[in-house]
Amino acid sequence: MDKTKHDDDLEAFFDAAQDMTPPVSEGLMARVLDDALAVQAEGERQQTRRSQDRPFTGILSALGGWPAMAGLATAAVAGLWIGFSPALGVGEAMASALGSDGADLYLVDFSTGFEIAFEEGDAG
Amino acid sequence: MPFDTLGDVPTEALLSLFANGDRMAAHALTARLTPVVMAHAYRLLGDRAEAEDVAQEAMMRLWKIAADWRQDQAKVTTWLYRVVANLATDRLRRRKYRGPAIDDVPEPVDETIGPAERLEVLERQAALQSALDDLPERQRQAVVLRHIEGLGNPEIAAIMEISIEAVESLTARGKRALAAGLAGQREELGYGDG
Repeated sequence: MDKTKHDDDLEAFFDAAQDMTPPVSEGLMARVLDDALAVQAEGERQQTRRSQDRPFTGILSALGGWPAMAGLATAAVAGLWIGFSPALGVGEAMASALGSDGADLYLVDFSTGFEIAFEEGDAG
Repeated sequence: MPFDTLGDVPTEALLSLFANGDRMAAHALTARLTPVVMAHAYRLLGDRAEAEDVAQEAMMRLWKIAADWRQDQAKVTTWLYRVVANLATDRLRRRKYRGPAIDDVPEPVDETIGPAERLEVLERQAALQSALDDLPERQRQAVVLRHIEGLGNPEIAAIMEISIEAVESLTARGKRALAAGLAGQREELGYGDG
């Protein structure tokens, strides 16, 4: 038998096989769906149990897990550094604006609003 | 009856939704994948009851792995074809093949053909299934994936975890063996030379 004839014959059988509807019973579909919902329910039970056993895990998970915590820690450290370090350039800008040599620009007036009101009360 | 109302959503995304407890995703995946899994299991096993068992087991494995599924790994269907083939192979090794009964062969899709033609199609399908079942497991799997499921050689290579050249070799040898197996039945089934 030559190759073309051989392939043509087989193609006819393959076509017949492709034309058939595979037997999928409603019973099988129902069993597969039941399995799916049971696995989901079990997953939810385990999730609830883990959250109750380790509350921190729940918070961690809500925040996005350990990768998010690492980002949060980095942001916190960066915030501290920005808060404590003097802003470069601000001193010179303030000095030129106020006509000062800049030495007194870091003096901070710790008087609170309450003290001001108190002093005003005394004067009155 | 499960229904797939999320037809536009990729299967891999549905699996992620399923893992997060989405009930609609469970329905959609069941409706979308069970027929695929069942068809492949049937073509490898030639037995409806066994194919249903394999299909249910394969889908159960999918549900259980859903939470750990990585979006960058193989397509879900590729993974399922592989699982079905492994489960079917286990079953085939445990039993001696008894041949498909004509009642066990699925009905043709085309509703317009007459009873005589329908019977002929059923007989052809039974003959093909019988010849397929006589093939070595790997050849049968490659031929079914290539010529009945209609997959490309790269995907078949991924499913069977072999090279594309090995797929080509398996399908070529499988087709030769199929042709030989069907040769004896061709005349009586109306596939004669005339």
